[in-house]
Amino acid sequence: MNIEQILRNPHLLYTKSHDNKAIFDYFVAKIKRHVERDEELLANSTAILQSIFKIQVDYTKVFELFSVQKYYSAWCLLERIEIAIKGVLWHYNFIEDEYYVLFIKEYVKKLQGLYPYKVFGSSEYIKKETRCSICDSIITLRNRCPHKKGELYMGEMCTYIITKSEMIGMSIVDEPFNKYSVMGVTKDEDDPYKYQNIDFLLSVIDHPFNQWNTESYKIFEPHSKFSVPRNEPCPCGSKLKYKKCCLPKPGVEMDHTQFIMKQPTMKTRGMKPTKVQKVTN
Amino acid sequence: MELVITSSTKTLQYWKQRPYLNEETKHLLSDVDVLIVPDEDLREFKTPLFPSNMMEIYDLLKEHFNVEAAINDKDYHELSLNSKKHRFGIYAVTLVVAPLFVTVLGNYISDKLKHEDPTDEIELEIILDNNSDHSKSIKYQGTAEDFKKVVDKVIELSKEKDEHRTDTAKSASTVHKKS
Repeated sequence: MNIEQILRNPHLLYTKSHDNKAIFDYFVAKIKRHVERDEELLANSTAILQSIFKIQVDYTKVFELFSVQKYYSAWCLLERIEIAIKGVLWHYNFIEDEYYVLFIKEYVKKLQGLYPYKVFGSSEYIKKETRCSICDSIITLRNRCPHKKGELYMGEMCTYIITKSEMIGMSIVDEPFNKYSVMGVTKDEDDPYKYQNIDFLLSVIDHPFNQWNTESYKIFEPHSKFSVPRNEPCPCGSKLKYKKCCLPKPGVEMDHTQFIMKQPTMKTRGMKPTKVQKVTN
Repeated sequence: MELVITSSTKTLQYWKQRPYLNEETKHLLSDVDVLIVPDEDLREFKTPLFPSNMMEIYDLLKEHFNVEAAINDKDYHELSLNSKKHRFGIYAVTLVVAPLFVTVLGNYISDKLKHEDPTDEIELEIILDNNSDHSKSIKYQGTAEDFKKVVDKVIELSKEKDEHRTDTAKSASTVHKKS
């Protein structure tokens, strides 16, 4: 199995050219062999490559979730990819982004920017007891096991597991640490949000590794498009009365996102090479 | 960005004598240059609390300074707030080590956040102790990049206190000469 070739061509994951399970099994077996031979450095480097492969697989899976309108599940997966990338970057310096990790990091952020989520719940808790994931020792400030959080030991990353905690509250924030806690949605089936930007992206890209960018600005939509009485809330979403907000303006001021493709795709064939259709939110 | 400098009576000595510290811990704190202090006034909680990941900073500072935390080992608890603001805690430091301390802390912050959004906010407080009844508190809230303003301010304040002590020494020698 040529792992190097597989990792350097993650776009083939989207075409299902590989048996992902066989590749994951290969990594597990290889780490196990290194551990049995007490080859810690090799076990650790294989574990990093395994993490990179998982990042690539998960990134591809995000687009599969988009295609079946499981946007919230995709959002949660994007967060897990972010966390995994932090772990990889702690241990691996890329020269040319040969495994597309930096690409995925950049595009995870772009994809998150396409979501309509503005408000999140941020949990607050006191950590009462913490244990090492490698040796299960209780961690205190002045008494530690020899393992360091974030380091690899025989292919396994040391994390601190909170075994006792006291939840003390929940805040509403616009920039959360835990992105999965979106207000108003806990699963795909009860998702009230609209995802026009993501749907549009899917309509213009051929695969997850196409390169694109967005520009956001305001435009005026003609008043004739809206049948909102003057004393009702303005369609722009400001909560002001229409007559006090956009009615005196040339149109209703709306957020607008323009997608810019770095190269034309099969789906944009025939269109202008740099700009594609616009999405009004 | 917010950089607030105030006078405070909460000196190193104040923190070393907190009522929740047992004798064993007080003994540990006796000669420290850097003391990591808890947040005692967090909402309704009486338990002193530290920000998340303070253990990591404690380990780092131990490589450079005589550092301890103003808490008994069994009472050490971290508060996880889980918003995107990065909280780096409160430190009481002697003037002598203050310039090196902020440099070490600044390098840690820079390294820790190098893969994060550069607009992320950080929050911390440094209490400069010059071995008197009062100290200077420097509270910072801003980006990691702007933290260098804290470094500059600490170095400036450290030098101010040094100049005052030098002038006092000169006056003493002048008095001595006159008599």
